Amino acid sequence: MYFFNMTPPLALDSISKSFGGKAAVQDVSFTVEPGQIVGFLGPNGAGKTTTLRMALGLIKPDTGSVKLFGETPGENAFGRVGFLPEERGLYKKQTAREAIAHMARLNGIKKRAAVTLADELLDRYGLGEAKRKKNKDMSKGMAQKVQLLAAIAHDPEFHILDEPFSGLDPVNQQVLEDMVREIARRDRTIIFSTHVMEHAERLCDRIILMASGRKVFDGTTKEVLAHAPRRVNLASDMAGLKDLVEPFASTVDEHEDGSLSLILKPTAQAHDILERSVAQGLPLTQYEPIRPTLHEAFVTLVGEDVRQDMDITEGATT
Amino acid sequence: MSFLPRISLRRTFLIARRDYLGYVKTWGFWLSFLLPFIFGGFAFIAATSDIDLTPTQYVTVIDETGLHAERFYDLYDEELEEQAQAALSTKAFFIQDKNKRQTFQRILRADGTKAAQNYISENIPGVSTKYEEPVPAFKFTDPPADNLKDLLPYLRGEIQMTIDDKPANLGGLIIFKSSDNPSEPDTQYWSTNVNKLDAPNLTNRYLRRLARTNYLEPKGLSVKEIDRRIALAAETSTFNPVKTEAADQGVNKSDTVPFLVATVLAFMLWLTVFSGAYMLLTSMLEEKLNKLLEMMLATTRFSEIILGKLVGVAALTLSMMAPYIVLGIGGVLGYVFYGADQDVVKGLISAFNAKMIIFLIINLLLGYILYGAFFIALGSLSSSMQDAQTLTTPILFILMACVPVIFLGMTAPDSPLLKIATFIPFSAPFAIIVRLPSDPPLWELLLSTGFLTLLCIGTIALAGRIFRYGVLSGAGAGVVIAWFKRVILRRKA
Repeated sequence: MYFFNMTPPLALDSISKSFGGKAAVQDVSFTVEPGQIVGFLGPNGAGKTTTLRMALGLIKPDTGSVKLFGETPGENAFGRVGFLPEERGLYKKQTAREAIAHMARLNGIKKRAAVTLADELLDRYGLGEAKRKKNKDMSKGMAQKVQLLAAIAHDPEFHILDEPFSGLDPVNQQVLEDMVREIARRDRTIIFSTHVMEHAERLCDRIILMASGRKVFDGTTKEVLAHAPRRVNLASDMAGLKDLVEPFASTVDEHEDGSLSLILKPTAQAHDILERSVAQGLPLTQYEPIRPTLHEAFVTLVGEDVRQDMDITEGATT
Repeated sequence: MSFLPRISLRRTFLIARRDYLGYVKTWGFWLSFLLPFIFGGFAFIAATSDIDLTPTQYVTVIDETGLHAERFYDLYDEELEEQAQAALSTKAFFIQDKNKRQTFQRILRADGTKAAQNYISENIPGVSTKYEEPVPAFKFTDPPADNLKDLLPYLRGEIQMTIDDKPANLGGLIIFKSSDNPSEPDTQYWSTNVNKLDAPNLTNRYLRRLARTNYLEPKGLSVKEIDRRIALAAETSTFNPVKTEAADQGVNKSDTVPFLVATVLAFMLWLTVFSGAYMLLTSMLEEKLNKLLEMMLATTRFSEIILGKLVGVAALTLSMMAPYIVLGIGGVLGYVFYGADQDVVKGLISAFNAKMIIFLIINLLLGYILYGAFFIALGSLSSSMQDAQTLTTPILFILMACVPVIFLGMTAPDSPLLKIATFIPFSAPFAIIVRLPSDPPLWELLLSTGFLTLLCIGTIALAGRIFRYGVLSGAGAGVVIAWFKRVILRRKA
């Protein structure tokens, strides 16, 4: 793998930020290593956008420090970062080509090269017919793809994408996912915030979870899934199933048809139930360990109090 | 640490270029740009074609007394002659010799257009005697009937007359009726058009003249002779005790033209600042609504965006005003090189002196930056035109209040209000320009420019903070109040 250099593209050290006395971000630290795809997750108001703005130097942290490519955010990072903000748009009277070329030129690319690059990108991502189309005449999905292309046209080392999937239909979400994968294949570093767990699960090497302005988790996808409750669905034609599983379960829900849904205790394993049922001669008509999801892991990590406010939707678009 | 923010000229240029082209590609820009040519074209067509936008009003007179009709027609002819004199008097503009010009004007006033034309053809061969004949507001016609009852169908348009082989309506009827005192006739005006008052106004002037005649002529005095002597009366010569150029310190157009030029320049400056600042507001609002600023900020400094916008819109404003500027400069240069009245030429040359040009450029820049920075800041706090209007109303009031200051410079250049306005940075750019012809002390100009520069720097710094806050926050007056409390008053919410 090739990296421009081994300086972490982003390093946050105990940053905090308050607005009008209300803490938006509290004591957040993390480092994004070169080549990583980091999912930056959390409910609304968790402090994701404020953190990303501080990462770019758009707002200054009250305390703590930010290093972008090893330095205070500013001129040194211009042209090396591609930023797609949560609130985004295009000049309505510009064409797609002009929009991409304009941003590319602001990022240091010469005029002719910028126009050529814009055409290439539009062709590559199936927007060739939109080259001369004014932005006001494009569909929302097309416009959003043009915005992303404008943000990344200069092929930056580090991509900061704030809610890139929001507002897209499932087909365009898939296209955007492919674009992110394609960027990652070029060994670029990516951090993106999202509400859609499936994207994070499929794309990310690493997950950072924010809640109420604090970082509540930072680890690999596998590690975060370990926090999810392990569920098993069971059924038997014979009585006594509930008594059999209770030692292994933290909660047991009994359905009308007599089947059970249970959450395993931290120390228990699903196959312990299977072994016990064989030993006790209680045949099972259903034995279904449920694969843990990020959604469940996050609900566990974020906690019940925050869960009330969050709109994390498993596999759903927002 | 540098006092001034670091700026990338390339990025600033790209932002300015985008803003400039964004507007130049609109229909509105080209309409504004071509407006003087469009109006000029219409004016040319109207002047050269035979299109009659206001059809002639025909008025008839019934004089039951037999005393007034002829004298009434004489007044009508006299007034037409006066209008012709006014049209012919513009020839004075092309008579270089001051004595000949004064003689021409005196002959025109005293002896009429024919005598004045003769004077020109005999004494000033280079100047044409032709002039645009005044169009009378109405024309007299013979009455198609001899009493009111029979004329009413004509007045109502039920019956038409034939004038010059064409059908025409009778537009009005003046009746001089007999009264106990023949010198005070009972006069009536009949017409369906009650808004066109040229004929009744002429009638009233006739009646006033009649009153004078009736009073003066029995005493052996001629009203016509009185009027002629008034026309020939000597005029006051004006002198300026501080004038040093002329030996007799007499005032002429070379002394008054600089004040006129300064007023026009100050007004153009105001117009440029007003339109430029307003365009910056809409540009900023467009930027906010397009939600592109945050993306740009990952690669561009706040200061570059503000400067880019200021430069882009300045270029745009100058482009929009280019036809007026070119026509103005062309007109001034044309007159300086080919103009006949040397007093005006001298006045123009002295009006556009180095001091005026330097202070005009300085004040154009500072005035634009001052108001522009305010409008950028307020635009960044707005998310709709309503927000923008609410937030900018106070500054628009301040800008509007500067208009009377400009015109005060023409009539009262030593007004205390004008002096005070010189030291208030918001009105200083305009006050300085209008005061320049009266040669104010240099320290006043420099101090005023200093105040203005300081406020500009402060405004840019403040605008930068408001801009940064506005771009990354919400919008509206509430946001301004919250920002003020948080940043200025250092209060917690």
